[in-house]
Amino acid sequence: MEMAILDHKNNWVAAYASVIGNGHVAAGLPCQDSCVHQIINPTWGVAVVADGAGSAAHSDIGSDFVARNAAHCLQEVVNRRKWATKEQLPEQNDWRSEALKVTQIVRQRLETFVQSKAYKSNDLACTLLFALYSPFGILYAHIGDGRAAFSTAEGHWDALIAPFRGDEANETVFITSNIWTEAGVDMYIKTGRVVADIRAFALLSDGCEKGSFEVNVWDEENQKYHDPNRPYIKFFEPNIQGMQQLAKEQKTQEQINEIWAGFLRSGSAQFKQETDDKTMIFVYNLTF
Amino acid sequence: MSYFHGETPDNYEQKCLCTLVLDTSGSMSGSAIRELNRGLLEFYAAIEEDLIAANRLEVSIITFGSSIKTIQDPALIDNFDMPTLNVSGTTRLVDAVQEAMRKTEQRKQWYKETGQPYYRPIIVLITDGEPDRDQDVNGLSAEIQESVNAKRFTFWGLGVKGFNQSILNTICPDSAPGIPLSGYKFAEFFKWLSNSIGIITKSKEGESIELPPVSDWAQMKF
Repeated sequence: MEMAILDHKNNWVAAYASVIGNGHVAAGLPCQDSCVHQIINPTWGVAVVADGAGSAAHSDIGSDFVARNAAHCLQEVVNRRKWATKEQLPEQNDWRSEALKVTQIVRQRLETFVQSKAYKSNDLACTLLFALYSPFGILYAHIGDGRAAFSTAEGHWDALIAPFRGDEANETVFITSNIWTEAGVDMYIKTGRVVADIRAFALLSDGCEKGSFEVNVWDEENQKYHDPNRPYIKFFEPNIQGMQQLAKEQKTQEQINEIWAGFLRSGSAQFKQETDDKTMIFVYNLTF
Repeated sequence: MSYFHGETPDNYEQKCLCTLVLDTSGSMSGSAIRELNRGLLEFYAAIEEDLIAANRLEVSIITFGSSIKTIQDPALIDNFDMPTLNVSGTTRLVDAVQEAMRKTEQRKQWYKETGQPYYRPIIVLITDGEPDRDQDVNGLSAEIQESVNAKRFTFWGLGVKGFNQSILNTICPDSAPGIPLSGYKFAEFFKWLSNSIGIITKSKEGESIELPPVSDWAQMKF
């Protein structure tokens, strides 16, 4: 069993879960979100969130496939490139090149899987958001929507990505979308890195965004609503205390995830009401 | 023991506009209008019970007989009471649907100008008769098809006893042919509509949205 406690082997504590939304329960749909978190070595880890399209027939299978394969590929990249043995993060160009390869491999594997099961690609449509974290910072990439936040000091949180949104509220792009041209890849596959001592970070599907980010608020100056894409400090800071407590109590990863899933299900009125599936991977650096 | 105490930010809800274009011509008198009014009330109640839909769905109502009346501008259901419809006159169906399309576009512009995220609007036409002779059905059909292809709105047409299936099919886009209502089962239709809106307001864009199956309110499956 994977242990989450602080010892000389692991500096990070993670909580991660995907829980079904009320709307999916009412409509008899499965949970279409998936997430994967893996410890690569004592200081590096990988986190992946994939959100299946509500309109796609088997997006639960798609998001599971994509999340697992992306995590596996990313782990391979870290090992092959020996990133964990170096004293710095790879350069942005280097990371983008590897991240794009990962998304392309996952897309190709998905296509093979689609054909073997006689699905259509769009049946497995899902977004993809992933991060590699290390003592030197975070490497991240995403296709579609979702949110991500990171903290380098107590009380300070910043957004890691800007979700892709179309004109309509429920419009985004998926790994299965027609984006695999040079221009499409430039426009729709975003990558980046944060070179800093990371205290904590979170990756989440859009089902969690209203409960943890300011995403649709009134802008007094411009007299209109806008999306500041601002992690809500009063959401994230108290949850860090929860992570510290769970680590102190030496809970297993399974126990932490169970508690975390309960929180995502009904820990706030917003989470309780949310119709969409909810996923959040929350990682805290215990050395802070 | 509870470990996580993260608080919730204040976020406004995105909006979904549903415009009902309702036939109140003379032929809808009696059971038809009575059942339509009952269906509207049940629709209102179903949305009211669904907290998310109640905060996201803006309903607009346009009626048509000899004249076109906007009896409800787009509003969350908390902000209005469902009106009781009366019947009279002929069937200026095309003018009414065009008015709905115009107002839908206006509302979308307003959402954009005020920075409010929105779902694709829905226009629902309910009719029991044939449009007046001066009504350009083919022109309307082309406009609707073009708009639906351009994803400006979703269009559903519902035919009530006595309607002309061929004309309704001409009006409706290829992707959603006219639906014949079984008897006067408006209540069942509106229940389906509220369920569908519940799904649309949480869906993601894709090839098609899996709506609940059309059941006993329709005469045939589509």
